[in-house]
Amino acid sequence: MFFETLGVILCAAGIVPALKGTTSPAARLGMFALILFTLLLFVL
Amino acid sequence: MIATFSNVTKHYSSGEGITNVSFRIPKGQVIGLLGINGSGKSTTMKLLSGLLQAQHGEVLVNATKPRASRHNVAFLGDRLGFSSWMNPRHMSRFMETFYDDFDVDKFKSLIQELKIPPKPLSEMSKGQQQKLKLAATMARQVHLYLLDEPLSGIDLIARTGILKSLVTNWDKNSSIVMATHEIKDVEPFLDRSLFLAAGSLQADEDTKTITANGTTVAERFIEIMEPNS
Amino acid sequence: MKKLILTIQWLEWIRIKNRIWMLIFILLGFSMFAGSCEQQNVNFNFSYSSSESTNQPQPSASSPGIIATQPNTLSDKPQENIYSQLMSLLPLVFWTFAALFLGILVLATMPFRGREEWENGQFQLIFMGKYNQIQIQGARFIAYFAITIAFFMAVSINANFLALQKEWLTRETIINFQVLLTYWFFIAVPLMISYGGLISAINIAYYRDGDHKILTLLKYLGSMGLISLLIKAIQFLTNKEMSLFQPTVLNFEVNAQAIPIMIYWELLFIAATICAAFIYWSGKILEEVES
Repeated sequence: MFFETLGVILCAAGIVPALKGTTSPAARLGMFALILFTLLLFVL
Repeated sequence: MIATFSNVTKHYSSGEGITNVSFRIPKGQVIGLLGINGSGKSTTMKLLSGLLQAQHGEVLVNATKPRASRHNVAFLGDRLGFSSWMNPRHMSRFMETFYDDFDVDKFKSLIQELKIPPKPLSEMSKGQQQKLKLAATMARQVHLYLLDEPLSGIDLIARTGILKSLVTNWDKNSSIVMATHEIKDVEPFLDRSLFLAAGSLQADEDTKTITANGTTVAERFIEIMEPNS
Repeated sequence: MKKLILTIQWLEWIRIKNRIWMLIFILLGFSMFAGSCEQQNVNFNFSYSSSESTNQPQPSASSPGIIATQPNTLSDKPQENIYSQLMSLLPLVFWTFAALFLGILVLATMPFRGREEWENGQFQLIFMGKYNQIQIQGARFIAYFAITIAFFMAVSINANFLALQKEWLTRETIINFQVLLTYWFFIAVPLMISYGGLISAINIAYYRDGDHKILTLLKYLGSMGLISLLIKAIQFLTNKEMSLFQPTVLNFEVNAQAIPIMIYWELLFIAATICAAFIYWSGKILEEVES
């Protein structure tokens, strides 16, 4: 449970900088894919 | 018309940028983009070159979006641009690959004219680096030359020579936009000046109109930037 | 395009020259090991053969599989002798894998471009040129892959030559090992290089607004997550035996026991497709990046 919570917190913390840190939609998509993979790493 | 800027707004996350700027660049003009630091000169240049994208409004270069026609624009940025190990011969090879319009012979003659030594950029003085970048930019055959601080780091004696050389080698079917603080040095070569302050276009005036009123471009610049002085 | 590839190779090889020197030092270290083995007068009679497995799936007669048949000599030897001979192979295996591992660590960092390069404006000049960023990323991939192939070939040819000359392994086993290594090389290395290019492009896209430590951490963790997902996907595909093409069986025989290793050619196509997608995606990001 600890790891799942940690994963969710980390991913949630990354959403705003991932969204606002670039003007490139493709880079944003890439960053969100990495956030999703991080979540899967902690959850699965 | 080479380029049009219609109600363009672009802000960085820091809040700086330009707001609602409009102007046109016709063929055959040397235009000065004048303003103090942070007035939006570099942002305007980068929007014209396609390095930045407008948030509002429209920028057109050669009747298309700047990103689509970016290889038809020669841009001299405020950064070194080339790797520091490159010497003039390396730069020529680099430019020949990436730009179809790069004229090797013109580049060689500009290098001779500007007395640039055949050594790597890392071993050159700032002024020599700037001259070399300028030669690489002006050796291209394009419709629009964007020169951001072209005289930065170049000594006072060399400046006039460089500007004369630029104007002599310049194809009248194209236009030059120069963003600079060295207003007195460029003044004799300017056809028109765009005065920017705090991201807004304060005035767009012909040099002839300015001089007809009995002032110089430099004096007009101070009038616009400090209206109460 | 040829001119672009040659110019990018020239620019990239100078940019990563320190890494190339590191690879040369790794190769020199490996060659010194090979040289020291050369001087030892060890007599190996051990035959480590590759043979057709009898209890495993067999490729059809028309299959492209490589199956070599060799008389089994291991079973004739006393057990302890076999183990001592197996142990004598360990230095070769250790040094080969150490060289490959260190090399891959160096090679994996090739696509990454520092912030100072971006700040220096080198991105601007290439961006303003006549080629689009997808072409440029493709040319960069070729430049890095060429170095990787040269390194891999130098290590594997050296190791194979040594093993063959010392008669540690039979010719058939060496061919099988080579096929297996080359198969995994062509799956893993293009993916590694193109993924590095993608992450580097994402880094560049976020340079303008400064550092975000949380994003750096998420990039590392996300990459680990992607690797674990890929491993699971490969396991799923191979366990289900969802093969479109006839798999090739490489038979290795150790201590009279056959160890068949399946080669699924689909994985190569999947890896190549993902690699092309990564190159395209990284190029698209660099097309959209503001500088």
